[in-house]
Amino acid sequence: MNYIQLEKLGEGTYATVFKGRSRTTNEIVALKEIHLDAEEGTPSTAIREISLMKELKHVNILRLHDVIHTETKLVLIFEFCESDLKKYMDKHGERGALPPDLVKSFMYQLLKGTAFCHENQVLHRDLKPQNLLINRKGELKLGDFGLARAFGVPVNTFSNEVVTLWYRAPDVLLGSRTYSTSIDVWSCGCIFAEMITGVPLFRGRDNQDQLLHIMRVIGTPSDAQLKAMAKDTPEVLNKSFPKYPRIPLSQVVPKATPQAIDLLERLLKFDPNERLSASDALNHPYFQAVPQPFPIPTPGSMPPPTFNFPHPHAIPPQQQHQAQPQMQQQIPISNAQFRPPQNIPIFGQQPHPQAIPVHQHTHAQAQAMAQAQQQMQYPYGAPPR
Amino acid sequence: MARTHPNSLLPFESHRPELLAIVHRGISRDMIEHVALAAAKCVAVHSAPPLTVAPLPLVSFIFNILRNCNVSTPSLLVTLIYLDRLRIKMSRIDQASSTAMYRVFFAALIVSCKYLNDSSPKNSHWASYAQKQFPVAEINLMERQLLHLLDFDLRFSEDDACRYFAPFMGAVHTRASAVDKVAKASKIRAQQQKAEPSADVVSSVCNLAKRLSRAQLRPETPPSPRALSSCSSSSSSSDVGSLLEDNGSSSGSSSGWTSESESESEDNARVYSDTSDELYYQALPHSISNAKKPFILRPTAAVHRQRTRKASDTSSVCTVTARSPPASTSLSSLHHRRPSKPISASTTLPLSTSGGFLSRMWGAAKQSSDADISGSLKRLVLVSSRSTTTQRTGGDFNV
Repeated sequence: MNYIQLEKLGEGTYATVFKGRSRTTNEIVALKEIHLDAEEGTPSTAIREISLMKELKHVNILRLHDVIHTETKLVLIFEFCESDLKKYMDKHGERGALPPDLVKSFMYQLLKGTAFCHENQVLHRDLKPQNLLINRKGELKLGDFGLARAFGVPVNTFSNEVVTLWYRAPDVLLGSRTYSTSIDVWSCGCIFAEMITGVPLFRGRDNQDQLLHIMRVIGTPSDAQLKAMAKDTPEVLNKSFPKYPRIPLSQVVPKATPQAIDLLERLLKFDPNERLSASDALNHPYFQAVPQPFPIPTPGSMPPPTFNFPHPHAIPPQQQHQAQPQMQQQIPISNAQFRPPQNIPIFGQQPHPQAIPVHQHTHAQAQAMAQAQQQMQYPYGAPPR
Repeated sequence: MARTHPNSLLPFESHRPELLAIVHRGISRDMIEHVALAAAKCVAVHSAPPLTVAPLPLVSFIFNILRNCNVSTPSLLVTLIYLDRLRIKMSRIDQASSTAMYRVFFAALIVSCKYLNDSSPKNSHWASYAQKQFPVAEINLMERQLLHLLDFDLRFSEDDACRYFAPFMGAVHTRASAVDKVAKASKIRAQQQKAEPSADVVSSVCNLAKRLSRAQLRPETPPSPRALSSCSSSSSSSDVGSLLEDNGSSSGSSSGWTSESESESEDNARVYSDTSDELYYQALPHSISNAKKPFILRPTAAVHRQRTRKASDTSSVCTVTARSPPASTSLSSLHHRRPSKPISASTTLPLSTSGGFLSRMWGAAKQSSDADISGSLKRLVLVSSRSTTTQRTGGDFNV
């Protein structure tokens, strides 16, 4: 192998990720090692991940450098990133919450990468903080294209078992198989809110529970609306739901600015047809004063090595969530101090002394509260499974 | 809001209606022959004159796989795109092993199904769809080799799809002529069979041998044709009812099995698999002189079967009726029950079964302009040859 395998960065059921170094260029890379099952052959997820990622060359999409395919394993060589958004928020966030300018920078880059996928007729179908990689330059990159699909030629079949539950769009939760780029936009909305608050926005236990979580915030859609959705996608289940009123998002995400709230509202539309496209979202007024998304290298400075990172694929969100309080470090970042790119908190950077304390529940508390709330909100007994 | 097409996730209106029509059409005989021809061309790039007729055993092989699993029409047709991409990369191969066309087709189909569908069979399932003619390890190997030769370049545009599917899109197109040839050839074959069987068997075998030798298929072991068969069926090329007619004209068997006569079977799937085994093993006479060896005609009971695909299968491959001639003609039907045998274990198959395939792959890699592919293939071949030797009993491998 042309790469020296270094320490393990992460492990999942499907793949193990190692840090690696190229023997020829000394470049630091990430080695995603996929064990090949003799019965399955080359997994279709790997086939699609390679096929799609080698085409998608964009600064906000993790670059695939090489593929090594042997009898027992398939190794994908990616650029190295130091962290993923989940870990980044845990480490550098104020109880997970990121400072507004950083949220704006990450959100901009997330939408850029997503829009690029959509322009190239690729659906990511698994956007979540664990799959967004952050390098030391503060660049955000879409990773893990295991669930991604090319669309646009009428030769495919699509499943509705896509996207990690908490980031799954309501149309998919209702059973639609004729979803579109709007499902990635929904995930972007969820991630947006999560970066602001530090807590995942909708945390359902299963499909149905997830739908109820969503409806409790953005309101149950009217029968006419549901009917219209069922017309577009006949496979949508025609269920009846408890009528929840819409809660103003400013109550759910109190720290967000009015412009951020407005963007969030347009991303989190129940009806997929009403959701903003990723490229339109980039033109939202929220991004008008967008902080410089990328660092400007000072003349003569050597760029840091590019790399990649541990793959978060297999760790279920719940587990990560539980692990969170221990992993949390009190490294709040002053909003005023954040001047991207130079001031993006780099790993190992000292916490800023003038950090503004933010009063927020810990994740464990928040979870307990959410559960208590949940129990209160089931007047008809246990939620349907 | 325009309705979204479930197979593209784009509005219906954004697609060519002829293309959409194909997606919802069943798999027809034309399609299978067209794909078989593409696979044969892929491994026989130097054959002169160029191949115009699909090799019958390959057609049967494909038909038998499709019968065992529910492959969508687009999944089958997309193999045309991959096979063509592969053909371009294989343009400097001198000789192909006799099983190469089966392998390239099979690998292309597996990869196409994995790429196009969110749920697709595992390779172990594919092994059983092909009646275990290839062990799973070998299927894994051919899949890996195909992916490397294609450099994981599996995407294609709607224009690509329209170009390759054109023969079936009803539109006047250059490719349509290829299909005409296939259709004509199958009509000729059908006519040959309709004539007096015992007299025609020899000529049809000779024809087959000619075709096959043109196709540069050179099994190293001379086969001794034994079982002959004849089936009567419709000659219309678009009629799937004629799917079996090819089976009738392809004849000659390399392995000395004893045929059992078979009583009528309700188990349709089983009937098909019997056929496929035999067809597959009917090694191809590699020269006319070989083909002219005396035939041993085996008696068989008359069989008359009705075959029905599962409801979930494509509608056009629906009911196939095959009638063997009266027993007194001493022609054996193709439908003998016979235990499956993995190809790699068959002593009657070319010794270089996998070696030939590998060396071809290697040859293609060497001439590939992409140094990366070449490098990874070098690795691949090294690794795979090691793995192959270990999984094989000696003598079967000669890279």
